[in-house]
Amino acid sequence: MIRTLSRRAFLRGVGVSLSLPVLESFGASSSPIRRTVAINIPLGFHGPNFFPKDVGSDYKLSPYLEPAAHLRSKFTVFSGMSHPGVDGGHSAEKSFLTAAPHPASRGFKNTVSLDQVIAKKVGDQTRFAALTLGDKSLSYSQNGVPIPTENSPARSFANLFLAGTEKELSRQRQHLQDGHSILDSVLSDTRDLGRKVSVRDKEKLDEFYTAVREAEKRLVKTEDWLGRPKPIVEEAQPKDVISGDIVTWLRAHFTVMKLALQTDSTRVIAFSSANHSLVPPLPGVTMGYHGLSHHGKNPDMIRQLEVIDRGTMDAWVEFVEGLDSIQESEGSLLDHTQVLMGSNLGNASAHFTDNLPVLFAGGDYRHQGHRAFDRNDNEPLCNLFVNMLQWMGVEQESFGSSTKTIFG
Amino acid sequence: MHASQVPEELWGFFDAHCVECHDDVVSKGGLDLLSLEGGIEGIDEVSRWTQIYDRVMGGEMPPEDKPRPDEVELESFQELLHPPLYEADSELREVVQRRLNRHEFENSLNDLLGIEMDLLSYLPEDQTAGGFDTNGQALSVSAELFESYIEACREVLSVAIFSEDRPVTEAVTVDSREEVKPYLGNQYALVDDKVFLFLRNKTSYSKISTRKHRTPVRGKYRFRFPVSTIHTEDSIVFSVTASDFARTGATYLPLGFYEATSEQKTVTIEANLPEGFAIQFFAHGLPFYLKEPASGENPGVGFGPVEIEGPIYEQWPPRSHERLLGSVDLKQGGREDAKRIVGRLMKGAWRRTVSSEELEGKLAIFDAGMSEGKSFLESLEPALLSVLCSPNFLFLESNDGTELSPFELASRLSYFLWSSLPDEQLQQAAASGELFRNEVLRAQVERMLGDPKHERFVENFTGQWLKLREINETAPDRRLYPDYDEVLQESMLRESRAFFSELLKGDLDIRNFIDSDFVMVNGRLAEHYGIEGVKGLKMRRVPLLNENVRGGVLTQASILKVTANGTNTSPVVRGIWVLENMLGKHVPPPPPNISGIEPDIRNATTIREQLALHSNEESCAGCHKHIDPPGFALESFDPVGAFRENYLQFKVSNPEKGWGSVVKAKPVECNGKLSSGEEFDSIVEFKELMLSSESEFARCLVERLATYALGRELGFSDRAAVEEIVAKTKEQGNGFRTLIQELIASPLFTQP
Repeated sequence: MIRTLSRRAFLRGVGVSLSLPVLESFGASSSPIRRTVAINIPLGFHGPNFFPKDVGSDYKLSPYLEPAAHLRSKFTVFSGMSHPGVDGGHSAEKSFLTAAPHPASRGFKNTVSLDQVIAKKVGDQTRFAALTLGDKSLSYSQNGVPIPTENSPARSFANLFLAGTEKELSRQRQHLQDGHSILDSVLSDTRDLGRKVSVRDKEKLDEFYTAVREAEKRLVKTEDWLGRPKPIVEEAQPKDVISGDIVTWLRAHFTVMKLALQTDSTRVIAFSSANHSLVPPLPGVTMGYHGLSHHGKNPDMIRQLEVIDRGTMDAWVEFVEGLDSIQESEGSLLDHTQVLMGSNLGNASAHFTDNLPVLFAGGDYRHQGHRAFDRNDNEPLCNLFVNMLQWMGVEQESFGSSTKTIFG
Repeated sequence: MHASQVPEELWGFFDAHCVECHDDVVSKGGLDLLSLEGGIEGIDEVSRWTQIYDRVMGGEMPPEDKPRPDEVELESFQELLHPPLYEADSELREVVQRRLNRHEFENSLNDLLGIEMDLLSYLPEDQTAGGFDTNGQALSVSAELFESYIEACREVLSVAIFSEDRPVTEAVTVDSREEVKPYLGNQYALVDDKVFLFLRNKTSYSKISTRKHRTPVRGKYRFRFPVSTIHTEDSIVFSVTASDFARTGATYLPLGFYEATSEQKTVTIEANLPEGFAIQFFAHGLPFYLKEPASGENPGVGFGPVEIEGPIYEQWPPRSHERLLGSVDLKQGGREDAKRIVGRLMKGAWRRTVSSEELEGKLAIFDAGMSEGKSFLESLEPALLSVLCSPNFLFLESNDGTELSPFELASRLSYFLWSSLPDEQLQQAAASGELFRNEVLRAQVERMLGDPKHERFVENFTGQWLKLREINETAPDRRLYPDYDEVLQESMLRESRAFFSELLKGDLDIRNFIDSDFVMVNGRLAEHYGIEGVKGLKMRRVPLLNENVRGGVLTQASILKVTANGTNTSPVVRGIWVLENMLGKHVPPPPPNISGIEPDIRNATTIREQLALHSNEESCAGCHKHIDPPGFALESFDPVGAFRENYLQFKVSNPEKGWGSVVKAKPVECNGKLSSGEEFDSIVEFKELMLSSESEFARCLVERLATYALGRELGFSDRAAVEEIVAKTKEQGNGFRTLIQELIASPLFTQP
């Protein structure tokens, strides 16, 4: 259990040198802090068990959604959604939050991901502008470069909540101080080089220059936060799980993610589950996860895959439940957090990238039960992304392949 | 950018032959010629026009049932379209400045400082384009990546510099007896001082280890231990990994595969390890489960006490320290020392001579540190970091697009053949201005291919051309393919690399890539291929008998594995692989809203039967008549690359436990008809047909190599240069090493 974060505990947690924006968000007059979580399950879910058969708010829960019966007013399940032009089987993972088309093509270049757009808007308020967690990075910078992901829930916990030793901190301070002169000098090299190269190369250098400038800003922010103690949580650091134990690993990550949101260490999290070929230690499962996803309609393999799928669903239910159990000033943490969970594959056995399974929970949205779009002419998933952006206060009318919005 | 005009006269040809189908109304195949009127500009239009050019010149368009343009018309078509298309394409084909990818970053720093560090873990995976991670368009930099560079370089300096006293070199002997004591007689046995194990591990953790004694500091360590087998005449393969056994995110470093026999021998392993590491042992090829492993006559492998010696230093201070800092006394170093140290690092890392202004710029950082009262080393470090995080180190190709400097040519060469920076000899050849002389360039290439560093080229190029990097993407179904294990996987990779190296080393005919009368195998792989009389782990050249299906790259187990998923094979995936990587044909993705086939392995139908339905639809047939046939030929091989005549199926008898048995299913059909009309009955016949496309293969190989080497995709305007390399190679006997030499000598390589 985690104690509810009181204003006093919060102040103790972050120290006294609070900058104004953070204080404002705790002021009585302002609206609650809003957060975003985006989760990708790269091998998706076995469709017949996932998608409900009927539509609307009175729909009958599908087998996979039954454990979420008590939460049904808090989420919408979508069918008939996908990213137009995003093909290429497993490569589509790269485009889950970016919607950049044809990720398997030779000249593919990714674009900025949803979480990073949001982080740009709200990231300066928290110690971590955004967290990128899980097996493969879902996060891409403004110029389409993957942002490193943290695979270990234990390390992720340490980054968020464990203070370094005094020696480590002083080393870090020294490094930050050195950092300024290193960056200055690199920027000067970049300008010099820019005078020698061709026009086309200049674009590359400009991009590099921007990255170094950006790093400089982040350096200042890190220095700023270094003086403030990390928040204290009662939860112990999770242990790393043996490779292959995907469900335990998911749960551990979800727990850390919940703590990160609760302590306002970040407001944006992108998480990607694994698609490895290891055998999870679950009852009745004898084959690797990835292999099982290629069940080829073999009933035994589907049965085994179901065990893993249900484990993933249970972890999601626990996560959403956990957010809902934490009360904040105006509603629960779930009411202030939009949680997207989906997959880049609609049918992993065939590597289809349309008809993606999509669950959208939390926020103060008017949830719609089962919202079904045309399975032969899919709704762009980006239409939901635009809602997500706007809900976070990003004034943007479109994203990727969006054509409109889904909610209001 | 000025557009290249499509001449008005060309529209006469289009009006006569094309516009009927390809106008803005019908726009068959998505092509609306009318929308292309005007100039050719940008990559999309260039690709479009190149396709049009090829389809018409290749006789594919207009289609068979329409009137054909005559010779004269075709000639004038070529004369009219070639020049503007060439001009538009060449606008796009300048090599762009690119950053080092993470492999190059790691190698460069290791080579520069004489260390062996794993730096890949500091950097995110690189994006690729054109199939390679050397592509300038794809290699971008973000703030996060730049921060990773600083962090990695800091770590590099801390490993290279020794500012403390020389650690004592110790020798200790450790065994695992304590660890296995509770399990002796059951899981393990103790015979003649050796702990024997009889099972294969399911995890990356082994009880047979040196865990009791961790490496006291980072450094080089020597491990010596006796090993032998019991209850078997066959050898048993074992592997060794080093680990920190960390509770959070343990690191595992593979230290290789070894072989044990009934005759005891002593194995010596030397490894560079971080602090707090120990090694552990794993047996391969043994069962996962036995009722009472240690009580009967089960085959096992035993490990005796391990002597650990280290840290070992060949000299003090170590080479990396000396290379970076020379003989400076860290307590007394001053500005002159800093100038020498920073200047030398700049020259090496920036791969060129540096100006005194550039040097002074970096020294200013040192000066500032000293004036703040920091120590010599504390002041020096940020200056060194600013050299290593500078675009002058991180970026290749910094010219204005008119000509390549000799230093840039040296870098192009060394990043192509070594995935790293030029060594001193190559730098000197560049500095003297001699490198552009043909015989000097050739001699350098010969020297570089003789250096072990060229194995990085073999690994990085085959890793991407042949997709070997994807070997771990899927795990074969253990029930259907119980023999598949790490040793077989490792052997597969080694085969493909050894085969490539064999052709390179001996300058063998590149036709061998299509089919060869030999294979490179070890004992494990020979068994997999049904070749008798090969024992041991070492890869060697073995001649093939006439009727053998192997030979060439297509039938190598690694390729058959990466083109399958764990449980089944798809002729489509394999067919596309052959077209793209062997014949250089671009296969477009299926049109939107066309579903592929959902595999059905319940065996009511085979994949071919399912495909037949699909390919009957007109919209699919256009591409699938090219794609499917090579895949059909390769259906003779299962997902782990073994030859098969029937599909296999796992029949479950106990769903709870997952028990059941493997049964034979429908026979494999491996015959087919190429889109050009020739028929084949088997993989052997298919390879014969492929040999008749040898010039397509040669062009494809040159194109793949050049894409990798130049970091850009090739286009219409590069065709003549590619043809010339292919022709010159053929004149000289068609050898693979010759082809590499001709590629490097070509203007494609020596000009921007």
